[in-house]
Amino acid sequence: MSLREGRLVRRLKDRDEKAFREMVEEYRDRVFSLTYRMLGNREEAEDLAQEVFITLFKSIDSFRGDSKFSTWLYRVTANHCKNRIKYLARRHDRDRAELTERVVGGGGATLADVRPAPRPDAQLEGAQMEQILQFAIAELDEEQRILVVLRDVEDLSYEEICAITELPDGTVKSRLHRARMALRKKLLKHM
Amino acid sequence: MSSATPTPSHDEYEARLSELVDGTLPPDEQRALEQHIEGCETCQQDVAELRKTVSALSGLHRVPAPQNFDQEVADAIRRRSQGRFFGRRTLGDRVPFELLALLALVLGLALYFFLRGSDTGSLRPFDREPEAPAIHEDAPNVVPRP
Repeated sequence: MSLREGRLVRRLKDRDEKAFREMVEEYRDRVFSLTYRMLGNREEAEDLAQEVFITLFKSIDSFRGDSKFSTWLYRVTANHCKNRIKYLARRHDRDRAELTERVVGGGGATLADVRPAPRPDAQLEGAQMEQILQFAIAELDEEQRILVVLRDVEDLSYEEICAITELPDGTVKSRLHRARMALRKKLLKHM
Repeated sequence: MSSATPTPSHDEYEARLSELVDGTLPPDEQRALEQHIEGCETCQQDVAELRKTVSALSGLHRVPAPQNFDQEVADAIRRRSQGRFFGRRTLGDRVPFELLALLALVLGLALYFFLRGSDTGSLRPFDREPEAPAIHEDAPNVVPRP
């Protein structure tokens, strides 16, 4: 942990509101981006990112300084994301079961629903590709999803990912490889 | 008895393709994997597609947080802590103490001079004798004759 991080953490532990505002300003985009890529929905992502910062404010005393502050922050965010994905999946199953009782057929959007635009220019193509990737990521299970987002979107090193997920190096590598292979299959027809 | 390590299987090579794409393999393992790929069409296709996948993923930009995000976090903490944190700030928190002291001094002086210049002000020195009431000669005799 750097000297600057150490000072910030001390002020946060003193419940210094100014320090907290500084911390939110510094890390909000990283946290929001991670929650958005994990959940694929802006409203859910914003709500969850807020929860992350509230948790950080409440549990800053439990940060012992064994890792970088950003590692701890990513860990808290990743755990929140995984819990929210499980919660949403349970809620989705329940809603779907209720809906099936009333209506036959239907269902949420999937990767197959993303159709090519009729006149793609570069920008539209980029936006469409982003949507395709987002759908493809959302179809991975939460354990694979976090690794893909941390490594390939956030561009973190294997070492940082191991520290965040608290998984052994070999597990991270093999799980990430399986996730990429699964994504490759999903994206093949769009690339 | 041979002491050479057994040649990895195709599946073992395949499992390390991501590390090859990332460039994180030790040099000797990278050479061995590249040699295997040269003779394996499946791995050639896999590695090409993996490169495309990773490249597409790395094109996903970081999504900025919404504009009011900071304030919403502070508001949420204030609500949950029942105003203990991030509550409405007092005047002293928002305006520097020096400015407040200067303002108080100016107001005090203004009040002093206002009271001093006032006819009824208690701070005005008593520098004149009060005037005796005037008696007019032609004033009507108000005392009744006996």
